[in-house]
Amino acid sequence: MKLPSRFSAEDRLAASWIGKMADREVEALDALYSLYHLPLLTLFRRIVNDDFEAEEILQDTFVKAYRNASRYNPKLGAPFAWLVTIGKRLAFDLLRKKRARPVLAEENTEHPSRSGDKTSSTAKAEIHRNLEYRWVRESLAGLNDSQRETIELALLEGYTHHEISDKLDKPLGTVKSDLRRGLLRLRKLYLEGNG
Amino acid sequence: MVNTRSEELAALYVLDLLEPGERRDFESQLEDSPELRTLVYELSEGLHSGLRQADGPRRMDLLAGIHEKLGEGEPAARPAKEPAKVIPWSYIWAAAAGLLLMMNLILVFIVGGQSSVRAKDVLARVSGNDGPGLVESARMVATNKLDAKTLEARISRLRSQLTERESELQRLMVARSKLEAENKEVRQFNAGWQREYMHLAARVLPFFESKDGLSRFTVIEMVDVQSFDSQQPRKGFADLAGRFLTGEGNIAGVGSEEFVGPVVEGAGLSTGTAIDPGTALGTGSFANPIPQTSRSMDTVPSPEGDASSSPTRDSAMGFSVWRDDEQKGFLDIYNLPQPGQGRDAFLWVRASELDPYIPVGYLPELDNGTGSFFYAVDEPQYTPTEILITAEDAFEPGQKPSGEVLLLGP
Repeated sequence: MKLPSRFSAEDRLAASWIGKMADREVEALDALYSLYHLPLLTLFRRIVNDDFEAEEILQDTFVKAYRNASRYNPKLGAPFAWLVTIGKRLAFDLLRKKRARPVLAEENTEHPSRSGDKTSSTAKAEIHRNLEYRWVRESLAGLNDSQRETIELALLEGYTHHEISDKLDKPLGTVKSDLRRGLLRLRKLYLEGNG
Repeated sequence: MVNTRSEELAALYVLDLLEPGERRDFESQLEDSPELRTLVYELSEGLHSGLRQADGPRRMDLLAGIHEKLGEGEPAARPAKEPAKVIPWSYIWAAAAGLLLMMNLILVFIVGGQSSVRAKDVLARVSGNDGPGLVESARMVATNKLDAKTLEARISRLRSQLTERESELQRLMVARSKLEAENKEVRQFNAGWQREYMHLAARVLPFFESKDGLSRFTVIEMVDVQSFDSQQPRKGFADLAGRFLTGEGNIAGVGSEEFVGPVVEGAGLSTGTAIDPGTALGTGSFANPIPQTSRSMDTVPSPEGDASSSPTRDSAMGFSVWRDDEQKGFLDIYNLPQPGQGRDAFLWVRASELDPYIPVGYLPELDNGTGSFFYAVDEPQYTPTEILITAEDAFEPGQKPSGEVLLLGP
């Protein structure tokens, strides 16, 4: 697999593992998981706001990545972005189902706990979550309010640009412009921070 | 060629907002355009770089669930891609011999009962029922391999970051030395101006004392005719005063001292008295408008005893500040040329270039053409925007300027 020259060393390594995953090497999957599971889990927690569901999505993301590894094309993006796209689609599918489902007043939303869950209190989990979500605030801090709101709705809430336009009562062109300018601004900040 | 439209599509692509058809079209564009690929990569990195740094407890325990899910739908998954090997018969015979040897040893231990290694220990180790058995060992090896891969990725990432930081540092050091050189040049250039500003500010700041932000001031700078014709740059007092009045700058600061110099009410300046810059800066209530902090600035020497360094000694110049709420003007003049025999310097003002000049009055006696004073105009709600000083007949100035122009502005 020929890798783009702009790829970082980490991207190259991850891409090589995806190549091995396409050859059904489970160890490569383990390595890729080890490298990226934490940021992905953080993202999914932020999207679905539920630890159990986020963990399920994380697992399904890597299962899907493993099964579709041969379809990964490095020309279309870095491995991390590829995994984010796979996971976000799963997460947004779940979100849409949840939004469509009527909420029952007495519905028990708790899930079976995994090992170690019982020891962490709600408050502790909340602190943890706040720390994890700091990246959202910090990452998008350089944007104006309109750009930040629009990007958050697309990145974290799963709204399409058409839906954002309806939700915010803004023309579609304005929404697209906010997305474009916001991402260009983040790109500028990224390039400044990385020489 | 990347344009606004392709930037928009790239943004939607990175956020996975394109419709399937649009997405396919865009991906085929991506295949063909390295420029577009770079844009998409950078947009994606910009969006995700913060997320990549997310920290928290690692959840390697979830990996088992992935293997489990893969096992359900994909029985063919195997630990590593190894070609099937034919096991030679000699290996099988060797294994059988080894097994026999082990059984014999067990028998010897049972019969003899004198060995430090008991048979059940050996069996337990083989079966993995007690202590770190073979299964556990295999798991540890797998885990170590995984850790090694993780470490390899981290080391690679750290190396990459180190290289980036080093080149960034190099770039910053070059930029810093360049900036230092530029800064030195600018400091030298500014030092002269700052000295002059200090002189000017010391003269006029008491007049600005209210600092209430409500008063309206008009600042007019004046130069001699020659400088005016050659469009030489002004000394920048308008900028200084503007910054001070809007509260953006406080170059010399203002104390509680009140200016008690002569104020002429009504038309004419005949009762005005020129203030010598040397004494004005050193004595009386007008003496100390410059706070200690300014004196301590290494680039701004105290104006006291440093009058010779003022550029205002060289050429005729001046400025006026008109305060609307009090209908009062402050005039500061440097090096005004001598008006000539039988003539005196006369001040004229006008509200715009379309209006005629209004006579204000003769200037008081100046010390070497330098002095400061207030003036007023006998017109209601008047705001002069142009000032002219001419050499007029000492006894009959006339109703419009007719003598030699000594200073004019702006």
